[in-house]
Amino acid sequence: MDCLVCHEQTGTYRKFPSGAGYPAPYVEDPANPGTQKGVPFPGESKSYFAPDWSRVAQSVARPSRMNCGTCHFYGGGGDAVKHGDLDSTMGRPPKTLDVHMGTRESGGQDFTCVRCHTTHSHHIAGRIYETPAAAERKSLLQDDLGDKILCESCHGTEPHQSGGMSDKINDHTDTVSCQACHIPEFARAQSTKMWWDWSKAGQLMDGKEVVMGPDGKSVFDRKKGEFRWEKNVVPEYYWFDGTLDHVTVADPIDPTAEVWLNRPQGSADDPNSRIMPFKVHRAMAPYDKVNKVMVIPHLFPFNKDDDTAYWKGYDWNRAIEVGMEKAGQPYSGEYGFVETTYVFPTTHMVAPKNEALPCEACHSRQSRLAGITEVYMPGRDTFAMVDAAGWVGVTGAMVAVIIHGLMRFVSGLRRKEE
Amino acid sequence: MRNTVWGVLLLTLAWALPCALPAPADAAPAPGLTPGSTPGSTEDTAPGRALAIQATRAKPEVRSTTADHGRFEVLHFDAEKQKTMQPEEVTRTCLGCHNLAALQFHQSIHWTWRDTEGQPENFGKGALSVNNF
Ligand code: HEC
Ligand code: HEC
Ligand code: HEC
Ligand code: HEC
Ligand code: HEC
Ligand code: HEC
Ligand code: HEC
Repeated sequence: MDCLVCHEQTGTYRKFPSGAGYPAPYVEDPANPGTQKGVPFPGESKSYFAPDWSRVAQSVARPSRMNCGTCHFYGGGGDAVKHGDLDSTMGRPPKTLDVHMGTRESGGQDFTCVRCHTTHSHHIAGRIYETPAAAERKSLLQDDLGDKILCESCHGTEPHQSGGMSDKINDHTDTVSCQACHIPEFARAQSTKMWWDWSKAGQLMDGKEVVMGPDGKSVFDRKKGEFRWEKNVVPEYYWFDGTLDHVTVADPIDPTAEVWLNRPQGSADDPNSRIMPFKVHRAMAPYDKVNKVMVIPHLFPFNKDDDTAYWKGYDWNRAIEVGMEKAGQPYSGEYGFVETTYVFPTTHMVAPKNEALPCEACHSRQSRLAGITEVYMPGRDTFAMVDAAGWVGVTGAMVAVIIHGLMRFVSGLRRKEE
Repeated sequence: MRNTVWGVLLLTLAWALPCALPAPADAAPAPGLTPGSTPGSTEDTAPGRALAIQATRAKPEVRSTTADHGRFEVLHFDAEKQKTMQPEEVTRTCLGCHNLAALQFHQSIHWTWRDTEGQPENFGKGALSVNNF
C-alpha cells in the first residue's frame, strides 16, 4: 500500500507505466553525475524519474483532485478512456466544465473530490458495485454529519425557485435525476472512448502498429484493436436506483444479442429510482463460444519470456487459457467475439445553470427520453404542439376563407347595385 | 379594377391572419410548457442554492492542522538511500505515527479491489468482474 498517491502534493510522484505500482528506478546520468537520466517508456515521448522521496513525503496533506485523478482520470489504461466525466481536464477545470470543481478564477467552487465523497476513517463515500452511494436522499439539514455524496445532500430535493416555470422543474425531481438535466453532455473538454473492437487486435492497420486519429488519440493499436473517441456526447438515459448489476466470468450470457456486462438497476415504480444519464461504452470482446461466458484474457506478460500473454504472443487462445486459469474458471478452448456494453453513471461535469437541458430536449418528438416509455410526457406522447401548430393554420385558413366569401358577397352586392 | 384591389386585399388577409396568430414553431414546447417567469430574475431566492451555500460554508474550506510534515526528521531521507527506496518504506514511516491508517485502509475497496459490502467473492477488479476495456 502506498499513502503517497493520495496524499503527496508536489505533483511529481509518478508510477512507471508497466511498473505494477512502482515508480521508475534511479538511473544516474553519466554526463551529469548526481542527476537522473530518466527511464523512457516505449511509445511515450517523456522519460520517467525516480521520486525525490523526502520532498514527496514531506508534502503530504489531504487529497487534492489530482491525487484521486492519478488513478480515476486514467481508468481503462489511459486519459478519458473509461469515464466520460472524469479525465485529466478535471484537474483544473473552468466553471463551464464543472460548476463544483471549477477553479475560483472561473467562478467555480474549487471542490476537491472528497468534498462530496465524504471520507470517514478511509472509507470514501460512493457507490460500490451493488451497494448504492447513499440509501436515502437526506439533506445536510436532516443529517449534518451525513455523507455529501448526493446532489440532494447539499441542494435539497426542491432546489429551484417556486412559482413560474421553476416550479415545474421541482415537480421533476422525484422522477428525473439532477444529473439528467444538469449534465446535458459529457466529455466536454476532451473526447472519451466510446467503442473498442478487440477482434481487430493482433493485426496491422495500413501496415502500421499504431494509427493516430485527428485529436491525437490512437484509433488503432495492434495490442488493443480499433477504437472510436467522441466529444460532447449526449448520454443515454435509464432508470437507476443507485446500483449496477454485474456479469462475472461465471455467469452465462446470450451471445446472439448485445451483452450488458453491467446494467443500471431500477424501475419507474420504485420511488428511489430516477432517470439517470449514462455513458455506454460498447466493445467487441472475447467470450467462450462453448461455455457461453465472458473470458478474462491474460494481457500483461508476467516476465520477459512469457509469450502466453496476449501483448507478447498475440495468441488469444493461449492468453484466454492462462487468464481463465488464473481466475479459477474453466475454458473450452473455443473463443469468439461478442458485442458488449459497459455503463458508467454520468455524475461529474455539472454544467452552469443556464446550460441545463431545455424542456424541449425531453418534451418533443425528438425526445432524448425516447427509450423511457413508462411515464407520460406532454409534448412527446401527445403530439400536442404539432397539433396546435396545425390547428392554428387550419383555423386561420378557414377564417380567411369565410372573410373572402363575405367580401365577395359584399362586392357582388355592390356590383349589382351599380 | 375594383375586383383586383379586393382580390389583393383578400389574399393578403388570408395569408396574414394565421401569421398574426401566435403560432408556435415545431420545436416550441407544448401549451403548459412555455416558460412563465424569466429564470434568474430572482437570483438569490433559489432554495437549493441557499442550502448549498449554507452546507459548504459551515465547514471551513481549509482545515487547520497542527503538524508540518516538512519538519519531521523521519521524513528527511538520506540522499544515498533515496536512490533505492521503494514506496513501502515511506508508508512504513507514515504508519510509525499514523498507527491506525493501515487497519482502516485494509477494509476499504482501495485496498481489497473487491466489493466491500455485497459479494466480495464475485465483484471487484480483484475478483471475477468483467469489463470491456
Ligand atoms: C485512496 C486514497 C488514500 C490512500 C491510499 C491513503 N489515504 Fe489517507 N486519506 C484519504 C482521504 C480521502 C482522507 C480524508 C481527507 C478529508 O477528509 O479531507 C484521508 C485522510 C487521512 C488522514 C487525516 C485523518 C483522517 O482520518 O481524516 C491521515 C492522517 C491519513 N489519511 C494518512 C494516511 C496514511 C498514513 C496512508 C498510508 C497508509 C494513507 N492515508 C493512505 C485517502 C487516502
Ligand atoms: C491507486 C489508484 C487509486 C487512487 C489514488 C484512488 N482510487 Fe478510487 N478506486 C481505485 C480503484 C482501482 C477502484 C475500484 C476497485 C474495484 O472496482 O474493484 C476505486 C474505487 C473508487 C470508488 C468506488 C466506485 C467505483 O468505481 O467502484 C470511489 C468513489 C473512489 N474510488 C473515489 C476515490 C477518491 C475520492 C480518491 C481520492 C481520495 C481515490 N478514489 C483515489 C483506484 C484509486
Ligand atoms: C459535486 C460532488 C462530487 C464531486 C466534487 C466529485 N464527485 Fe465523484 N461522484 C459524485 C456522485 C454524486 C457520484 C455518484 C454516486 C452514485 O453512483 O450514486 C460520484 C461517483 C464517483 C465514482 C464512481 C463512478 C461510477 O462509475 O459510478 C468515482 C470513481 C468518483 N465519483 C470519483 C471522483 C473523483 C476522482 C473526483 C475528483 C476529481 C470526484 N469524484 C468528485 C459526486 C461528486
Ligand atoms: C458538497 C455540496 C454540494 C454537492 C454534493 C453538490 N453541490 Fe451543486 N453547488 C454547491 C455549491 C456550494 C454551489 C454554488 C452555490 C453558489 O454560491 O452559487 C453549487 C452550485 C450548483 C449549481 C449552480 C451552478 C451555477 O450555474 O452557478 C448547480 C446547477 C448545481 N450545483 C447542481 C448540482 C448537482 C447536479 C449535484 C449532484 C451531482 C450537486 N450540485 C452536488 C454545492 C454542492
Ligand atoms: C427537469 C430538469 C431539471 C431537473 C430534474 C433538475 N434541474 Fe436544476 N435547474 C434546471 C434548470 C432549467 C435550471 C435553470 C434555472 C431555473 O430556471 O431555475 C436549474 C437550476 C438549478 C440550480 C441553480 C438555481 C438558481 O436559480 O440559482 C441549482 C442549484 C439546481 N438547479 C440544482 C438541481 C438539483 C440539486 C437537482 C436534483 C435534486 C436539480 N437541479 C434537478 C433544470 C433541472
Ligand atoms: C431530462 C428530461 C426532461 C426535461 C429537460 C424536462 N422534463 Fe418535464 N418531464 C420529464 C419526465 C420524464 C416527465 C414525466 C414525469 C412523471 O411522470 O412524473 C415530465 C413531466 C412533465 C410535466 C407533466 C407532469 C407533471 O409532473 O407536471 C410537465 C408539465 C413538464 N414535465 C414540464 C417541463 C418543463 C416546463 C420543463 C423545462 C423547464 C421540463 N419539463 C423539462 C422529463 C423532462
Ligand atoms: C512524526 C510523526 C508523523 C509522521 C512520520 C507522519 N505524520 Fe502525518 N501527521 C502527524 C500528526 C501529528 C498529524 C496531525 C495533525 C493535526 O491533526 O493537526 C498528521 C496529519 C496528517 C494528515 C492530515 C493533514 C491535514 O491537513 O489535516 C495527513 C494526510 C498525513 N498526516 C499523512 C501522512 C503521510 C502520508 C505520512 C508519510 C509520508 C505521514 N503523515 C507521516 C504526524 C506524522
